[in-house]
Amino acid sequence: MNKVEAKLVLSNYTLGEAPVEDPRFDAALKIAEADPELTAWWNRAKENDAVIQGRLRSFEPPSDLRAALGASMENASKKRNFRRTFTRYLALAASLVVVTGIYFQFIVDRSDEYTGPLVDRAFNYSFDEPRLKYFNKDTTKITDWLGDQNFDLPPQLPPRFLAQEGIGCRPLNWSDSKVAIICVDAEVVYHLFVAKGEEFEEVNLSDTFEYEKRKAGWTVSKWESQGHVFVLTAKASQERMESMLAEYSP
Amino acid sequence: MPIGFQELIDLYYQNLYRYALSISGSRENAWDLTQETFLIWARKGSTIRSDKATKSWLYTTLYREFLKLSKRNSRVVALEDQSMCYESLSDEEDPLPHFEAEGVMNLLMELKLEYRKVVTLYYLESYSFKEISKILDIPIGTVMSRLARGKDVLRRKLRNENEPNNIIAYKNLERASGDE
Repeated sequence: MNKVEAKLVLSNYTLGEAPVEDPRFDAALKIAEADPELTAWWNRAKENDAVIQGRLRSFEPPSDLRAALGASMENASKKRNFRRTFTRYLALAASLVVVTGIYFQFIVDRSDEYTGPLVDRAFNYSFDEPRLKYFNKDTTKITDWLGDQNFDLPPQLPPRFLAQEGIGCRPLNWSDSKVAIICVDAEVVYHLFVAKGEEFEEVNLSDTFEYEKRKAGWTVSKWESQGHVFVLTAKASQERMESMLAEYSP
Repeated sequence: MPIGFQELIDLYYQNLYRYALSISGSRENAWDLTQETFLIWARKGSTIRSDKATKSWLYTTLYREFLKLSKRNSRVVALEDQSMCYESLSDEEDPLPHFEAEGVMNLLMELKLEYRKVVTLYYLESYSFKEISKILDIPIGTVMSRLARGKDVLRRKLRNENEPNNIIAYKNLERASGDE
């Protein structure tokens, strides 16, 4: 760094405190300390800049600016508070709509809207996405929960079905008869409906699996076992459903 | 606790107005820029805590509003002084003649805008070139160059001196300073 460059650096430090740990300033200061002429120049520059600063800071803004700023800021603040309050109420209302939607979507049992023979009713209910009451990935806990709800499940359920990841279940009351729906996730959702055979005597099921193809690629399987009637529905081919029921004999 | 509106205004409005006048060159625009800056603060309800950060925020906001105003008025200012050259500094032999505040402000407004933006922040707030660099969002080396040059031109104007014509290259030092 030469004297001209040192002068340039020092000219940036004529007001306020000297910088800390600034190598350029330190280098320029070192040159100035060895050069009385440069030091004198810097001192005069500091004095002159202090004078300019004082003059500039004494320049008077318009006398009515302060009051105008205060009034406009208060006004803006009130508007902001109004918007904030309005937004909060809007968010609350939106939350209520969402909660209500969830309630009607998942909590309210609308299964009574489905009528007709058990198999049709089970299929239509599955097709429209059933509303479940208890959710768990563990199918053992799902069946235990149904037991706690005084639902009499048969001792044997399809083992491959139980080996899938559970979704949940719900006890239904169809035509004053108890029906349990258990859902599992096996890439597609499988819905197993179980009811006591004596309560659905009009359903003539055999102890072998019967398969029906339904709309939109759905398959329904039905059978009777251990005094219970079973309906299994899924948007899956018959082959896949047969695979789900493998290792299980009614 | 964030400070109240009136306290905020009392602390900063005078220098903000002075800065706005310096860069806009118009009392009407200076009023509008100052007002808009405080309104933005009020609308956003800033939670900035420290006085230093608050002041810096206000200057940054005012400068941004000035840029918007310039754009709206199709007065986009071309960047100048990019040649990395620097003229020799005045000798500071004599003390400055007496000037009233109005006179200093008028001479300041005669500087090129690129100098005014930097020089006014320096004089009003004693900001370092690093702080000025952050507020104006320009490289530190550019701030150093414009500050030294702008201050020198202002002093010459105050002394009614002619501007120098001997140019000294400032390239190497400028590069060494980096942009940080």
